[in-house]
Amino acid sequence: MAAKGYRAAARRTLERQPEVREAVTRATLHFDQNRERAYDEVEAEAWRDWAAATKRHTLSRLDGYLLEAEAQLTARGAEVHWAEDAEDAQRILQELVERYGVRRVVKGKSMLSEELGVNEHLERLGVEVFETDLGEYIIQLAGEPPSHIVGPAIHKGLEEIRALFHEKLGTPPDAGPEVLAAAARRVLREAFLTAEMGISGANFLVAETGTLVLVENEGNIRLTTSAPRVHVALVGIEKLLPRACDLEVFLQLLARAATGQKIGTFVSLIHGPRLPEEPDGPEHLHVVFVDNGRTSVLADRTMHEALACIRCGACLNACPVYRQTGGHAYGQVYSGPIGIVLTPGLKDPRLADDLGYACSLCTACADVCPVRIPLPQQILAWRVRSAERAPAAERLAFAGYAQLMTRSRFYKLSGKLLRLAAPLTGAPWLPVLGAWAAGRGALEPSPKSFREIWEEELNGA
Amino acid sequence: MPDARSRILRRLRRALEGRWPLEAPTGPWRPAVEAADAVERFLAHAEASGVEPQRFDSPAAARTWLADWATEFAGAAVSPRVPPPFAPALPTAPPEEAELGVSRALAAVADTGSVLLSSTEGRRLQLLPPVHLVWVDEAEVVQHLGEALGRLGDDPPSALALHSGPSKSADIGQIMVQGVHGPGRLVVAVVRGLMELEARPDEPAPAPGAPAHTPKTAPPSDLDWAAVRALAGRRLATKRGDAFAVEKVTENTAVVRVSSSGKAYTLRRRCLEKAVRLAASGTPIPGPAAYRKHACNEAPAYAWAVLRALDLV
Repeated sequence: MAAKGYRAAARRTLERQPEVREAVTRATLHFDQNRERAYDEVEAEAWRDWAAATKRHTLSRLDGYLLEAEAQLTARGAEVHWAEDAEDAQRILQELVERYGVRRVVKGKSMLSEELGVNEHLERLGVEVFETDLGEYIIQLAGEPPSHIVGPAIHKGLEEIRALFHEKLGTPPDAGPEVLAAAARRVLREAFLTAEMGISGANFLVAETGTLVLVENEGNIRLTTSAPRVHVALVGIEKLLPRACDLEVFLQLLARAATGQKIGTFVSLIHGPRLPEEPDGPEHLHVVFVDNGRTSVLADRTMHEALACIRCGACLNACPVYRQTGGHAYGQVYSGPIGIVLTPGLKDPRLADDLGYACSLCTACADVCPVRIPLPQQILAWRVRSAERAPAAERLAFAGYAQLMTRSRFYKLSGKLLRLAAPLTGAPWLPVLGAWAAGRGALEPSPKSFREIWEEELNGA
Repeated sequence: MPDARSRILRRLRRALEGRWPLEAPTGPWRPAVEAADAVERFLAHAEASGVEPQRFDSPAAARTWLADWATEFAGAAVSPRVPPPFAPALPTAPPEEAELGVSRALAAVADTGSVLLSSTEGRRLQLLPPVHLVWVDEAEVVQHLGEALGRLGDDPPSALALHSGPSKSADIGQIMVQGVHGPGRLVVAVVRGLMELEARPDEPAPAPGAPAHTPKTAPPSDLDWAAVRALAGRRLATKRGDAFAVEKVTENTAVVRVSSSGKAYTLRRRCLEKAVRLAASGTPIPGPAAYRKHACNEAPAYAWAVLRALDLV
């Protein structure tokens, strides 16, 4: 069995799939440049302050806003369900599948549904599941999880997708993107028109009006929520916004942060099942409020702001570590800086022992986050907590190190010793040091330390 | 067994215990006032996102264009909200088969280059045909998204949607492809005078027993628009006592801004005129509820207060 954890997976990706690094770097740099241009077009700093304050306010009164949204949705004929964890959510879906005799489900892109293992569960029930976002469809065909919040298949280049579609859908081996997309459209169009249930996530839920808001570029989410007779929306309990007018900023900020667009090409604002006088639309709307660890994150005074996340992916695009491997190496639903912060909180704090180090603490993520989540500070805090659990020998070693480094005489001495031992720092066979040496060259220290040069200058040498 | 709902709420309350509820930023966020004309900005932004924009000075010009443009399609699915003269002369097809879907937007937004569509006209015709034509009146083009979203509070349909370009994806090797699931072409036609044309067939039909009036010639509106213009800058209050100001009056609209929230609402001249005509013909409009029921459901509280200030209701 292959070694587990971020470090092992990252190494495997870099060694065996060098094309992933290339594809991910190209895509994320492209997203990040577009974001930067889009921020520059508007008063992005003021927008971000406003959005951050609004989200923090919402989180501080989340119970009230959830109840308000529930009341609004119910009044419009939607049925609201509450799920504490994945098992609860799966049971609710199973009941609905049985109630409506569902054989086929079309799905809009939803990271929450990945958390909940929706596809696997539905398939166990004998339901045919179609991911309808083109990127999600590609990775569903390939049997992989998404590697990026916004572009789930960014780790795949045209060549790979061509080969995959040739094998699975019989498209010509040299088909261009237009032909490949048309092939997917044919398969999925039929699925939209025959599925009994559409499952979506939600980008926002407005408490005041009970408006479920979904943002996309392809139109597949609009179709998922319009064509089948039942629509089920999975909503993380952190998705709330107080007022409909808050959408003005959030819709534009989300799009600018994610892809540099002014707004997502299609924005759905859903209030309930179809009205009697309307010609089409789902007859039943079920909204599932999902906790799945979010209340634990909220209770954590250092990490709770991570719940302000609007899943734009800007921190992934800005992250020099994410860029090397894409999301799969993290081995979790959420990758990149936000994944490092959220995953241990949602699932298990010990995951930070490994994930916490998939970061160079460069703080690029904090510079781009549209809701100003203090990601670097939070990652550092996870590391501190991990260090508290470290083996006694490691803690002792660092305590000794701290003693040395804070005493001038020892500090001077250690510099001299290190210059002598420098050639050894590149030796991967050494115990302990070897781990550091792997992937790095030996140190090449200057012949004199800064302090020595400084003293010489002072003495007028 | 306490259910999941009460357990989640209990955990939420425990998590928030002892924490100060943080204040929301005061008032809704206000975008900068744009110098350029809303229609110009809308057309430019929409075009930059891949929309094929059209602009017509009169309904007649729009119809001439449509007659020629629509010939390339074999069949169309047309929204019941589209006034008959603006439906292409094509065989009707169900949305699954139609080559063209035709919609009548509720509004268009200059900031984002979006059209706001309603589920009351049917959602499939907005999504399934490969080409989507959307009609909107020049007076319905607003500068900011918030002005269009302000209509959410007013008893919205089951679904509203903002469309801001053709369906697109860059999921295959970062290469942009159009028409992935939804329409591959979005054509938005901005027409001056579309609403006036729509208003004509809606002329109040003589109610049974009501005094007959002469059809064909539109009854002169009793609303003196100059009087509405004169209200610009004035502060008024709704029946409930909420203060607002008449910010701006154009040829076809009056914009009011609520003092407490800063929200702006656009009142259409056509709606106000309709209410005045009804009131003049004997329908009592004693308050916003009646205004909404008989005349128009756009910002009835403010519209009614404006008419009240002119002593027309």
